[in-house]
Amino acid sequence: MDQLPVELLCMIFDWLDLNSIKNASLACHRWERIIFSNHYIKRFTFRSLLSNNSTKHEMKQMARLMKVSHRCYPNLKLEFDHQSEYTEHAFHVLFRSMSCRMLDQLVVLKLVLTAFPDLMLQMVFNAVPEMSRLAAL
Amino acid sequence: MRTIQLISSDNEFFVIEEHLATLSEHIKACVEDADADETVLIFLPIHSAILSKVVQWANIHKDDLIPILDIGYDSDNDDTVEKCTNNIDPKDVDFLKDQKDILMDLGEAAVVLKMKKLTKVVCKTVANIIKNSKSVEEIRDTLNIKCDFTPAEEEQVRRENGFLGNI
Repeated sequence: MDQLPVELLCMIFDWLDLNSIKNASLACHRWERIIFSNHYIKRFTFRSLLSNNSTKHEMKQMARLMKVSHRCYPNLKLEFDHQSEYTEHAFHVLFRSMSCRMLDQLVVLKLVLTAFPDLMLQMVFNAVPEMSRLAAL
Repeated sequence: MRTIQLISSDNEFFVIEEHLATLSEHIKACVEDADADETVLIFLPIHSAILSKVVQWANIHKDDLIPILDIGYDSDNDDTVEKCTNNIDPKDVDFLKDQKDILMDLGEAAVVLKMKKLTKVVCKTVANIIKNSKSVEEIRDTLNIKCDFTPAEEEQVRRENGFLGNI
């Protein structure tokens, strides 16, 4: 079982919908690695929605998650439905938690913001040179 | 007349009819090089328990009108189309439903033997098992997967997955 060819596993994963493939990724390390390898991860978008209702705890958890994750999402969607100093801070934390490796693999970065203060703008534009594959912002 | 013998990893012999050779690109390639009246011996890294099932599967399909080799799986590999896994040949559903324990071994053997259709039905069947499983534990149980995640790691994957959507 551990020796199953990647080729065969990929053919199986090709038939799965989003929910089933998420379930499959929980089966074992090897499956998780294959499903979120650069070959497959194109299938997913990492979405985060931060609103005024998001607690500091939720935000911290998300930032920690990004930090320890080995996955490099090419599609990232960050949504902020409220504009305040707090969301600015949230954005800062989240953005900083993404490693260089992660930024390098980014192809589509979607930002949904109610307002776009200078600080955020600055942060994003400073990071753009690190996103060597970025095709859409 | 040419005879083809498959030899399993545990040295069991399987004599197969020549037309069955066309079901496997690997066997076909081995046979093509041989003389018409030669006995072709093909050594395979596949256990007899699995190889016998592969031969049994091939026999089920020997009277199919469309040569099995010609049905590729490329046509329905389009990412935009909803993946359809309930269109498995009833003969295969029937055959594979009793082989759950060796499903993955069958798939591996099919890859080694380059048998496109067998590979495809096995993959679809496994995909169906994953789709129909209520939990990841059920997937592991049915497919004999040993979980090597710590509870904390599993929770991390679960949490991170929560943020994922389709493109």
